[in-house]
Amino acid sequence: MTEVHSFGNLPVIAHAWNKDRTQIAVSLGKNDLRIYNKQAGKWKLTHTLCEHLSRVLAIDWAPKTNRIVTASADYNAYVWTFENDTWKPQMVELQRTSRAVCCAKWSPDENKFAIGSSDKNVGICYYETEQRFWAAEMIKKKPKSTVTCLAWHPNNQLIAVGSLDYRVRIYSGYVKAVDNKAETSAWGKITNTGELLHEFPCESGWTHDVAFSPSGENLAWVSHNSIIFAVSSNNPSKTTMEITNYLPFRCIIFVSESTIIVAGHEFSPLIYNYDERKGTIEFVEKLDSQETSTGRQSIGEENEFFTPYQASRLFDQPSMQTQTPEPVSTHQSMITQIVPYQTENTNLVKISSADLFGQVVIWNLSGKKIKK
Amino acid sequence: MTNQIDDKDDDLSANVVEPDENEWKKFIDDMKYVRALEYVLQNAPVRAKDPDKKKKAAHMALSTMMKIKATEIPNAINSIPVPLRDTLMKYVYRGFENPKDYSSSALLTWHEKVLAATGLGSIVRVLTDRRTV
Repeated sequence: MTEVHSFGNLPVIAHAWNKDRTQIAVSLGKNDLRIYNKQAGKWKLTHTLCEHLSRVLAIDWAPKTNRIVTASADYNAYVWTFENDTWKPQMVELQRTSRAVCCAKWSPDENKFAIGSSDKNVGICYYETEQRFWAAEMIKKKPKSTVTCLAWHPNNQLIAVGSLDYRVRIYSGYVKAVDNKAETSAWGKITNTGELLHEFPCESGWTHDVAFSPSGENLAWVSHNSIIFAVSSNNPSKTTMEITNYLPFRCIIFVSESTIIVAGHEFSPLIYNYDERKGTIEFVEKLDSQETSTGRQSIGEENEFFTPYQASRLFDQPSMQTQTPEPVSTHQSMITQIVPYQTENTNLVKISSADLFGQVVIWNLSGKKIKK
Repeated sequence: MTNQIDDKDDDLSANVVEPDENEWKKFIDDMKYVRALEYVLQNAPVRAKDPDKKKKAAHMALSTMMKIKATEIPNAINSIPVPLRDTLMKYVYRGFENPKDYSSSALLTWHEKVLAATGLGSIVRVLTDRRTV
């Protein structure tokens, strides 16, 4: 069953769930972050977090420590902690960023997070316990253009960074102050913060999103030339790519070790299978099968929102009757983000996706052809 | 639909190839138009910086395309390997730039048939790729 949640008709730039999935934080393209609480099947706005001066571009909610990190176009990032029923902001000391911060993600152990910005900086941020502030360690061999996306390796010490200079890079995200000891990884020896371990080209398409597989053995990314790339740590010199017939993809996620879901300007998420040994990425099926979707749950009581597409259908009822109805997908605009929703034995069984018309859709992956 | 990138060197000045005119004429004289087109696509000077080289190759590709009959276009596209179809789409758009030299109605037929084979992805790649023809 697919659940559709609507948060008005503003674009959902980013969204994040809390640990038990009863609350959602969304950025609707404004300078505030809104937290909705689910009460009796309806979404109720409980907190509005206003500290940023410009559009909030990225949100990540750490499940165990219950902290939120937000990144914004006002060059800043904030860490929010929940105390006495209020969310308290603390600014992250990003000394050198002089452009929008485009992405922010908590590490798997939640003791640090990484940010990427438009002035080519990648920072690993951690809490300086003695002086009580969020410090950032910037990577020196930085990408040559805006950093659009990043992903953490499950070992908490590696990050993959995608940028607009047609490259994806793997850096060491090891920070001496908070990490015990540098671990060995399949991608190479981890030493100091910001050590560049690998660099992969993208066939002259700028990178939109990058993802590690649950074990961290495989890495995949999508770029604006509608190509899906994947590489395995067993053979980092061999990049596999799949030239697709679709519009460009904006987001990618591994749902199991070999199954990838991509989505973007094409309104339905697509399932692909990456075979590392054969070196192929094969199309499996579309995730959107319209029959299974249920009625939409909207916020408020009588507030019904219509997407422009639906509105045009409503106004044009008589003239539409003569035409055959077009197939309608669950999302009716570009998908901006896919995040994990529910995990079972390291594989994802539910994911949620957000689009430009204010919808967040939770997809159930059971019954889909997903290789374990 | 899959191929490997072994070539790590993305520097545009390296690996400049261009189709050889005599080789191409041989195919044309033998009336092997599809083979001639494939030859030009394979050796398209996408990494060249010199606009004259690109113009010469574009002339070869487009004049070959004009020689192929409209009814034979779908078969011609099917016989061209998948990675080269994106380059073919680039030449279709290149042809639209000079409507006086190349018949736009013929190119629209080509556009329709290539699109049927490669989907919207190939148009996106024409727009984004730095390796122009």
